[in-house]
Amino acid sequence: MEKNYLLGKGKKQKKINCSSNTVSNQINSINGEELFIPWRCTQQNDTAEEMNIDDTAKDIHFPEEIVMNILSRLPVRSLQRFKCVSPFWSALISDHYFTMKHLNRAKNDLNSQRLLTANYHVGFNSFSLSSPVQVIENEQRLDGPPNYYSIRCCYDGLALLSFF
Amino acid sequence: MVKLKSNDDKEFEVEEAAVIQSEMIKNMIEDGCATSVIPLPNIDSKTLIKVIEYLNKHINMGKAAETGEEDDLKEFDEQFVNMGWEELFDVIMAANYLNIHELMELCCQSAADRLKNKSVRAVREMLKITNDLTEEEEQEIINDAPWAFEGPEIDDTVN
Repeated sequence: MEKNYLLGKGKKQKKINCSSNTVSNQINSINGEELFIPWRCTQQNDTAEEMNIDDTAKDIHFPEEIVMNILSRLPVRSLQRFKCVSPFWSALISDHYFTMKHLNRAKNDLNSQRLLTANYHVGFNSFSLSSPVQVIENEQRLDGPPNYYSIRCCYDGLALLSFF
Repeated sequence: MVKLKSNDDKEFEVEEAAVIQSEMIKNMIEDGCATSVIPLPNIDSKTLIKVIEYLNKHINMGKAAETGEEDDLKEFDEQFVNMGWEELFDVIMAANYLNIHELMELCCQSAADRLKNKSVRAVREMLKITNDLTEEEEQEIINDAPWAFEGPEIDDTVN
């Protein structure tokens, strides 16, 4: 399977073409899972000539590590949208390793810790999305359906709600 | 003092206490490989000046907490990342190469803050990414989470 993952900067954008054979030695393996390197490979011809790079032009390709570093700081809403940026971004954002990295960053970020509460007519319950719990100044209400709901449990930033 | 040389052949002298914030250079010094000029083939002088400015300011970071200069440092950091998009990328690449953890954190966070509300088109343009998704694939992703593509805050400008 061939992919086109081009990341770069500079006035002159270049495509680096190579076949899946060539790219296979650029695949990272993290926790046994294969991750694609974010740059190069198009679905065009894979002749050696096309791999020639003009060394004089300033063109920086971000390593996957840096792309991941930046993306792991974004809220879920942005990430959902950026799945549309390219097949590589879509694969990266959907990858389990990235999800764990994103979650770990959120856990360590005091600003992203939230206390999830449900307040309905018969009672009140609350769960911590992460610990330690701290006082939240900006309360954000769930854009939930109009029905009553209760929170069953929370784990790793996910909440299970039941509606009735 | 440690001498650094950019890829456009400009030399800079930096205090050892400042430059060892770079793990790469710290290791070189410890291994005795930093006796003469250290060439940095991946970094141009413009970017290196920015990096050195950061290193010099953060030289006494440990002390800052004791002397109550943290706010000053925070203000410096905010000003520091107030640079052009391309310049920021150069600094990120340099920080990554030199392995300066704090600078990497600062600049990647700034990049994330700038990308956060951008439209898909703007992100592609900012990062020079070619779009290989077919219209159908793109529509499928949008249909999966239409809420991520709507909203007044979504910014289509490139900067």
